[in-house]
Formats: sequence, structure tokens, C-alpha cells
Amino acid sequence: MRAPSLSSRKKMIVVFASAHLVFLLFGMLPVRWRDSIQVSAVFNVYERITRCHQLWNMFETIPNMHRTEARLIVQERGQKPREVGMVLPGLRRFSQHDQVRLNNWMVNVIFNPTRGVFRESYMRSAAEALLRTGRYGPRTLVSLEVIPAYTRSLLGVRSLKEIAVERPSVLGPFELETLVANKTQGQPTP
Amino acid sequence: MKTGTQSLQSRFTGLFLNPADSRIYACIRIAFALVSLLNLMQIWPDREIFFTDVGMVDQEVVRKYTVGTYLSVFDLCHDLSAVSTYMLFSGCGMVLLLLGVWPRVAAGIVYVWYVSYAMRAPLILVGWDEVLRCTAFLVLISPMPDCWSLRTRRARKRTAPEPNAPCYGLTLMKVQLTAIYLQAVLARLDNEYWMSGDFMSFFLLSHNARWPGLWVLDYGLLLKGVTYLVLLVELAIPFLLMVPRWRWFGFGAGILLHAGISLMSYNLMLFFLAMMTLYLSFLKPEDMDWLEQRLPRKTRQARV
Repeated sequence: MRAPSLSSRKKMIVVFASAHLVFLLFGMLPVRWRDSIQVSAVFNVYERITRCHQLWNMFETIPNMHRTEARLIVQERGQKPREVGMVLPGLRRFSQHDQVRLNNWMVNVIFNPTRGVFRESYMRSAAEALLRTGRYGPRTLVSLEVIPAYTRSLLGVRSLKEIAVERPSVLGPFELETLVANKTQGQPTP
Repeated sequence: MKTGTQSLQSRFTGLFLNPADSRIYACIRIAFALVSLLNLMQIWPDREIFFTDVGMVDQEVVRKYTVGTYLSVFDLCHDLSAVSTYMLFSGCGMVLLLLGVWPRVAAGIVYVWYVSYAMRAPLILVGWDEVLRCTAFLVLISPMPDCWSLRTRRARKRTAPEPNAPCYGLTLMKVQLTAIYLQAVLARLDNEYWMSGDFMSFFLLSHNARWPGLWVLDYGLLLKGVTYLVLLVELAIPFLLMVPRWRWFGFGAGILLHAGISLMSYNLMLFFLAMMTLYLSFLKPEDMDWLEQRLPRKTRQARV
């Protein structure tokens, strides 16, 4: 007895669905594993075409950040430094709990050493925003102050009765004028 | 031998072409559209921050560092009014998908929205964005039977009701859910914090936690157990869901796992809902009968 032959539409469905099925089965492997397999190049092309990135590394590493604060510090010549919100536009304050996506931006841009170009771009946009307010002159200095509090080891938390330790870092200071000029010329900040 | 090969072939094609209940597709379409609307509403207040030229993410820098071709509708939207218009347009697509009006076009609009914002602002993406984008692709390629949808009287007369549709969309959604859990577990196998069982303690002390505090230390042993239990449950869920007799245990375990994560964390409710959309692909016709009996009469009539 012969099996009934499939219509061309059904054949198309089977071919496409099989391809996607193989893609998903391969996608079950963690990135490190599949990168070592030769067909990963084909997988990556298909992934890029369909935009179905198979990267499911949720909480693969421990979340070691207890809290983060970030702000711009603006200082005019001969005056005290002033704190300004770092969220653009509007120079609003950053709230880690209310803005989960902005928190991700912070983790991806500020704490990732390979994303310097995004940090520079942010600083230029911040300089433009500060100049646009009309409150600061072009020679004003601006820096981005980030204060992450990293969770201690469980032993440390237990013995010190303190969850996290702050490790502040500062990007800058830069002159507003220099940052904006760099944006116009499209050159990176020194 | 030949019969064996034919049987294997028909089993394989059956994975994609066996008839599936149209109502399951309709259920997924509606749930996906609703979750997409909620996600859009979550992004809406911050649209100026993420998508405009005066925001935090410079489009030119993103374009330069995109792997592959930069394809995003946001390429045409630079200011707040253009961004708002595009987001409202995408929202309309989600409403159309919800109602089942021009569902294929609507699914296309929603998929383009997910691709566009992921391209425009890749650094703000969260876990459920990826889940929803993959689901959007699967909804787009899945059958769109006329079921639980608003259709004009003329359209109802023109086409006969379709009680069944090929099951390839549901099969792929099931495998997608399995891929998410299996990769997540496999990726953690060489992580010392997961393997030592300390992950949950660190998670509850982190900014992700709803109530971080020193109280976590009093439950060290319990949290070790919970860490291992999470791995075990994530591994078991796809298999439980696939066995008809055990699938309600799979649903129960999945709901408890994600509800627990949502309860203990800030802002992860959308992740729960996005994952539940994929769970719906494991529903059976008898579940839909049960659900339909509880729906208002008008909705039941809309099926035919």
C-alpha cells in the first residue's frame, strides 16, 4: 500500500517546519557548546534571518549587584559640584527598581568593559542635554558617577551583618564643549 | 522494510501535519496579543529614553555595531511623535491580532515591532523580549484558523468553519519551550553558585529581589534545596508537559515556578506571562471543550 503523496503546500510546510525544528533542537545547547560544533555558522545565519535568537542564559551567573545608583556630577569653574539625574532626555533621576530596562542598559553599558563606544556616545548626549538647559557654560565639567553595591560572600554577609560593599566609579570629568565637539566630528573621546 | 520506512515517514510528517484543534491556535493568538499589549504598555512611558535621538541609545552607534544588517522601523522614527505613532500602530496590530481581524497581517506587524525595537535598543532588552520575539515568529508562521475571531457576516458566509488546522505551529512552540528550559539548565551546569546551591541566597540578596535582607541567611539550607529544585523542575517541565497523563503536573510546576519568581522578584510578571503563552501549545481539545463551556454564549458562537 502506498502512502498518499503530499500536496506541494504540505511539502513546503514539512520542509520549513523541519528546518525550524532542527534549529530549535540545536538551540537547546548552550552557546559555548554549539560554538564548538561545525554547523554553528549555518545556525547563526538562520538565527539572524529569523531574529529568533536562542540565548536562554537567564541567571546563568549569580546576580552580584545589591543596588546601583548613578548620577551626573556637574561642576562649573570655581563652584561646588552639583548632582544631576542621568536619564536622558530631561536629566531625570535613575531608579533601579522602577526602570528594569534602564537597569539593563546600565549593566550592559556602564559595567561592560567592551561597550566603551556606547559610554562615550552617552556622555556626548548628556553634554548636549546639559548645554541645552542653558544653566551651564561650555567649559563646565561633567562626569558620570556610578555607585554599585556588590553583594559580599555569604560568609562576609554573615560575619559583617552587611549585605553589600560599595565600589564607586567615575567616568570623567570632561568639558561639555569638548564632548559636544567630538559628537559633531564623530571622533571618540580621549 | 518499505512499510517501516513509510510508517516512519508518516509519523514524521504527522509531527507537522496532524490535525490540531483550531481553538488552541486561537487561544495562543489571543494570549500572545494580550501579553504583547502589556509589554508595549510597559515600554510606552520610556519610549523617549530608548527610541528617540535625544534618548540614551544612539541609533548611529547601534547601527555601526549591529551584527548583520540593521533593519528597524525606528530607522524612520527619530523624534517622540514619530516613535509614539509607530508604537500606536504596533498596538493596533496587537488589537487586530487579539480580535482575529486580518490575523496574518496583524501578526506580521507585531513581529516587525519586536524585531524593530530589539534592533534599535538591544542594550535594554530583558529576558521576556526574547521569548516574545520567538513566539511572534512562531505565531506569524502558524495556521490562523477562523476561530474565536471577529469576522464580518460576509466573511463568515464566504468561508466554511475550520475545526482543525495542521499542528506544525504547536509542535514548534512546544520545542521552543523545551529549548528555553533545557538550555537554561545546561548553561548553569558549570556555574559554581548553582552547583553549590548558593544561587538562591544571592538572588534574594540582589537588586532583583523584592525583599532583600539579612533574613536570607536564616534559610541557607532551605534555599540550597530551592536552588536544586529549580534546576530539577526546569528540566522536568517539558517532559511532564509532553506526557498526556502528567501534563497537568507540568502546568502546575511551571505556574508555581514562574509565579514564585514573579512573587520574589521585581518586574518579572511579564516573563511569567510570556512563558505561559508557550505553555498553551500543550493544551488538548478536551481542555478547550472545558474552557468553551465556561465562555459566554456569544464567544462560543463566534467559533462557528
